[in-house]
Amino acid sequence: MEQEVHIAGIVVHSLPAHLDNTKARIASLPAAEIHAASKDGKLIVTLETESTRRILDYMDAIRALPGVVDVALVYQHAEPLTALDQEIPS
Amino acid sequence: MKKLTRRDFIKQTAAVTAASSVGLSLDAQASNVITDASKTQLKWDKAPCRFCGVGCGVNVGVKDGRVVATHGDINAEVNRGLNCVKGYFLSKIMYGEDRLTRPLLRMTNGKYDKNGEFTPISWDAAFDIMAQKFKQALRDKGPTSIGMFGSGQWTIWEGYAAAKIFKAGFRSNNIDPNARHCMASAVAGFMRTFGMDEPMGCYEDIEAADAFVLWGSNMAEMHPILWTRVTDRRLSAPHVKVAVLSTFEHRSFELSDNSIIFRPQTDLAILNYIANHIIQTNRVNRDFVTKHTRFVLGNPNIGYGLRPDNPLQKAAKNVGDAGGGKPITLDEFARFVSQYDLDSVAKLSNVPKERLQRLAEMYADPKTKVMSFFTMGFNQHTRGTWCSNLLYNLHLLTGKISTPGNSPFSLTGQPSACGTAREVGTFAHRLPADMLVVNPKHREVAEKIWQVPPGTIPDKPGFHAVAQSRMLKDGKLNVYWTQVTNNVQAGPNVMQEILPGWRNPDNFVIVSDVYPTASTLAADLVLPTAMWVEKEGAYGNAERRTQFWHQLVNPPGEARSDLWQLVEFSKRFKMEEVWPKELLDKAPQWRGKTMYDLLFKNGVVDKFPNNQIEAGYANDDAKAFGYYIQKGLFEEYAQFGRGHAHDLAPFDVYHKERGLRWPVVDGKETQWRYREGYDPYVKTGEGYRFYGMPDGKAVIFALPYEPAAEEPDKEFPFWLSTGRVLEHWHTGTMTRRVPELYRAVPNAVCYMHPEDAKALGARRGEIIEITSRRGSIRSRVETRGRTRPPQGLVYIPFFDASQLINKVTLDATDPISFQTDFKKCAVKIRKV
Repeated sequence: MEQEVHIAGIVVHSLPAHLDNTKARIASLPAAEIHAASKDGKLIVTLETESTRRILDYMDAIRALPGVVDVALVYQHAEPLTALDQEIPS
Repeated sequence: MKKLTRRDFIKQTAAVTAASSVGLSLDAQASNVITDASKTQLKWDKAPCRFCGVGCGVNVGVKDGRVVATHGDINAEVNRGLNCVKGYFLSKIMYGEDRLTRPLLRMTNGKYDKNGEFTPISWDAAFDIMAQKFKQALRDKGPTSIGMFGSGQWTIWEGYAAAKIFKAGFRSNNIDPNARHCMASAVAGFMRTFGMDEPMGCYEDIEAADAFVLWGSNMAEMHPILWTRVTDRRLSAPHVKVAVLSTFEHRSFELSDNSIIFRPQTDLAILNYIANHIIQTNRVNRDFVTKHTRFVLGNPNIGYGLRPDNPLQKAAKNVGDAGGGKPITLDEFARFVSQYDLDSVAKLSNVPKERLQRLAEMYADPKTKVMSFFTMGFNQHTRGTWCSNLLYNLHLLTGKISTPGNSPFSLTGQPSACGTAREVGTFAHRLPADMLVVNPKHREVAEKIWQVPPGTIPDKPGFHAVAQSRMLKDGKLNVYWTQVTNNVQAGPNVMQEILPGWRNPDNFVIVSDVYPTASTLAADLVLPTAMWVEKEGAYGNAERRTQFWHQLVNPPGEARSDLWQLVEFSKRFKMEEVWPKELLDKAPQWRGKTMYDLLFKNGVVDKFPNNQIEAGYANDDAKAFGYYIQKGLFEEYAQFGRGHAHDLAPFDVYHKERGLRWPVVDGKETQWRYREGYDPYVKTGEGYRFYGMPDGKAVIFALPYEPAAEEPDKEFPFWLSTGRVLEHWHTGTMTRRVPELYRAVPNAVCYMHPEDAKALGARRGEIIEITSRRGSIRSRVETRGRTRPPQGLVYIPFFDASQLINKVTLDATDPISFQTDFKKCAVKIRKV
């Protein structure tokens, strides 16, 4: 089967007291990127992996971090690598 | 400058979408990409999620005729842009490699043979053999020898068409949905207390409540989006408290302020203790109770829904009148519950007194608005109907009901358990809009709307789910069609009560499904089926919200929707072949016509031409029949509820809205029923009116604690409980087709307390054998993880077809709702 790329946009809800710690830990994950954070402890994170399983593993790992109360999926996308690497005409 | 790829844009889209769901905005350049379809090459449309009863709105992204992306719909009130991890499977569930694409019949030498091999045949040949078997059964034994098992995953019009075909066409009430295993006790509870099904409140109760109580519900894993809303409420308002009750510890306990692990079945006693506490501390809302309730002593000792020759049934006094009772007063009710004092209930339930008291105060304190959630822990219970009734007692005694934040709330497991199974009336005893087949007035209403002569609909309930299995085994039910369900895996006591009936040589079993399952393997004919956005559909969620979607992609191969299968099949029957002469004499215009003509070409269902389909959408079903069949079925069905407190909006409105909660009157949905100012059916000055009951009063029931059908003893010392795990929905038919996930949670395990494992000499991961009086299976020990049973109880999920836990479970049912208790039986365990 052709290699797929899986992209997810998720919301991580951290207790505000743990927010800095949570951010640092997520930032250390190679597949994860933090795009924004709110004062009440919500982080906007994207994950990019080669499989559903890896995405779910990452979500589980983030959910298990101290101070994380919830991880919600918002956006999910999977396509073959070749389709996603098409350039976009500007 | 670096060239941008679609991947870059899609990643930005993911970030922007996630940010907007929590009200954050990213920079302006990023925000533009989401609408720029030319860059992502995706076409987006709305649909409700395929999985649970919460009814989240999702946006579905299609590229080149294939669903490649989904995200939570920011405009959906239910989930406000969020999605749970199950949403991850939505774009994958249609594309498993073993998708069924052709009808398959068991054949030997080119002919049907019950012991033959599955062989691909045409739809025409499939309907030929089906029609032959149906007609033979109708000729030999009449309409009670045919039956159908349907689903809370049917779309509204699929359930409606099936019910109409069976009840008005074939004149058989032997149609029941798998919701019988799932929601029947909640239905019976609503009907007994309020005379009308489904919750009075809605999800907005969550943001208004001061306290949450989970009665046999693991929301954190099973209904994560609602759990997110509960979590938000709990963390943003420090006074809010959460109590969680269960027979084992699960992930919802992480948010719990009052964790209660009770001995199975003693929830009945705990509920009565709380009622007693409310009375003893003088916190009954007398004004509310006097005006809006009455009291009934329900019949005790009602048996366990087992076969009549079972000793437990013989010993039970009120098997014949399980739902009966007699009026009593508040004082008599107070005396009845006074036996459930703190000391004795703490002892019986093994719950510390202090926790029981704190729980009781949540309900008793007049200043605390309380929302009670319940799911399978209540419903799959031999006294499940009583559990509902006893919980409503607490909300009624205190008047904490039908106002924002005061809400006993039944959660559902399937996406249209409410919208289809319940509202459409696909149960063996029901008709649309809460009407009953035993009520002559109700039959008259249905016969009028269906344009069939008086006396068409049989006046006795048909076989319910468990009875269907027993009747197949006993050779009384001979032709059996199941759609969107997997009863050979999900039904109780498989080896003794289900498989023998399916493989009985006298019987012919048809299974419509999207993938091979334990049920397709046991069937004689398998029909390949279209799913979710491969067809136009409608679901109704747990808060009475009706939601529509368009067909967005094509089904694979020859797969067709359940609707097409049902309606097309009805063409195979001349009315002379299904109705007796006396009935046809009353309606001679149907002589020589087909069942299809009668039920669908009736001037109502075929009223709307295909040019009314919204431009730009395929609709295979409408194309096949030549008219907008979904609209016609919906509008005919809506006649049952309009003006009778089940009002639905016009069909086209739902394609524009993110769902509406019925009753929808004058274009307005209803959030809180039975309450003046919110519900158009309550008149000014009435305050509240429980109008499901003729006197407008809800019933407070006196019902006792009674033991489970089977409890642990010396020989079988453990309780066994079953249920789901988050990663695999129901029987895993869809989710186990996602290869990565299959590897992640490949097989079910047996969760047990480390001390119990130690006593058995079994370590984590080792194989054990779990045996009941009915059968045994092997599984592996799991002592860690998020499911943590107390000593003396084990938990095994039911998604795994290689470990059929239902070989072990007991087919005891609630004698009022006929729903099976999958949560309690006795087993012994040994290390292999």
